[in-house]
Amino acid sequence: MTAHSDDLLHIASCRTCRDRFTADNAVNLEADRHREPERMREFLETARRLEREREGVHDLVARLLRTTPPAEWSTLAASPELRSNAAVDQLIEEIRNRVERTPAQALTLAGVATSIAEALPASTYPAIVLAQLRAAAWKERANTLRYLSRCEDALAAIETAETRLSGFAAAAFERAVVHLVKAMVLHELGRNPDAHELLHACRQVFADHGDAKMLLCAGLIEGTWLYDAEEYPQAEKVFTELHDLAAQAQDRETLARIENNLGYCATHAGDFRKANIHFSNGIALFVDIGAHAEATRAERGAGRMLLGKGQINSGLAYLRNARRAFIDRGLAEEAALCGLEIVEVLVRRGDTDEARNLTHQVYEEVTTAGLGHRAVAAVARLNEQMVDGGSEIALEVRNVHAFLESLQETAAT
Amino acid sequence: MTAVSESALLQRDDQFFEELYAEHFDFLVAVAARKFRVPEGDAEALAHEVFLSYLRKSGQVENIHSWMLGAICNASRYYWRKNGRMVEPLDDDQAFERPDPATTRILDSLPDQLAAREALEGLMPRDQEILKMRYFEGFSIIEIGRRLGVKAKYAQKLLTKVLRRAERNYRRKGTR
Repeated sequence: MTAHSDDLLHIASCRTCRDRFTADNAVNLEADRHREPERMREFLETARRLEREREGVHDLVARLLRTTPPAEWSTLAASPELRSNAAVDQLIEEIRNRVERTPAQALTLAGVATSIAEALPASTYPAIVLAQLRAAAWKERANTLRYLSRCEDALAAIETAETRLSGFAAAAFERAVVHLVKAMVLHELGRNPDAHELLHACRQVFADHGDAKMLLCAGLIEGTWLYDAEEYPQAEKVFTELHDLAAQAQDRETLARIENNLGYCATHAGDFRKANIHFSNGIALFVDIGAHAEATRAERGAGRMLLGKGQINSGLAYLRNARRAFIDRGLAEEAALCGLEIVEVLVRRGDTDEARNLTHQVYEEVTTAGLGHRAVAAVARLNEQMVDGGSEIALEVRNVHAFLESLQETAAT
Repeated sequence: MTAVSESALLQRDDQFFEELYAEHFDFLVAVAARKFRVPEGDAEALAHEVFLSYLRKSGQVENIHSWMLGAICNASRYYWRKNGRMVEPLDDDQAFERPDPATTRILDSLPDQLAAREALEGLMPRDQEILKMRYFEGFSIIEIGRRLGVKAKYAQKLLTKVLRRAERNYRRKGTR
């Protein structure tokens, strides 16, 4: 039987108790009551306007970005058709799509978004809506600057976002989102106690609003920080709490990440059986949701992690699976890196024949796939050295691996 | 497939937003005014601001009731952070409603604010946090318990102890 009460958490989900609470605590505003229709009108007009603008700008920003050369994107700040809440939201979406792959382009767009948001006249929207819009644009700019490692600039930008929201009591949720980014910036600046305090406060606000998605996001950040600080038991505690939340919210992608992270924590704790279960769960969840690339990355990560802890057989099993998956999907570079990781282990444990065969196989793959000539030359040299043998061969394998990785990073930037 | 005209969509949105406002407005005002003791006129303004703040993310909010409730609670706390609070907030739970007669004096009748501040500053950070949550941000005992990860009864005990400690500090400093 449901236990009805005036507990606010219960009221949030129970219509009967909400109505009863409202009736029992009705505020008789008497003379002030006449103001309510005016407020309702302002609310409805704003709602209608925002909806209409969303309909009107469908695909507008994507189209403008397709037809304008990137070098001229900054001029878009002057486009009259972009002067709306919906257009700025679309710009923010485009920034998010680019921030990892092309952060410099994302920064240009963030500049456009902040310029437009700041230039909107005060009469365009109610003050709080305008403040939210401006804060959202500055927050995105701060996040992009963070990706570019310009942390001092990022801090200045996020403090501008904070300022835009100050004075608005009802902007707690946006403030928490802004504080989440600020916490990440502070963390990168090494101000860890401040970052943790902010993050903790954000999590509370997201929990108050019943926003599982943001709560999970903030929790994952906190868990990752603890893990990076080598505070593995605390990290495991955070991930375990999040696990239940993600399961309740049926957020399978986050659940997969949490399982994977729990696998890493268990490995550090020396509980390899538990680690294997978590890694397998994570990989299976990634496969279930069709995130095959993530599944393969998780397999490779698990393999490397277990090898690092001396769990050779299970580590090799994960790496072999990952390598097979990379080959199946035509990712020659990733397959080669994975292959070299296996080769190093084989060399170290004296399986020279298998190591030699695998190196030759990797050489053929990179040649066939047409990787850059420097990558092919490095693997070819290693292939020859493998035939000759030698005591330093494991070190050579590691050097070639590092060289291929550096080429990959250079290509990405 | 049935085509829906844009005007029909707008109409439906209008109705949705109108119903949302009608359903929640009085409730939000009641929470701000009765639970957090925000003055009634300001409570109404806060509730309205919550509705406006919801509009930008209306498509992303999964549970509107929880969101609205979280927003008004946080807005009320922010209100008191900005305006200061020297009154006892109301609780949901009558068992934790009554102030402790042995300790209310410190809140109600401190003539010397400087001595009071010194008394509070002499507390451990966690104790200060408990007092801040209770008397400055308007959390109920149940909420403080949740935040500290303890049961409500234990949170009440902690609060009483902290108040006594603060009172002892205050007496040691002495009224001036």
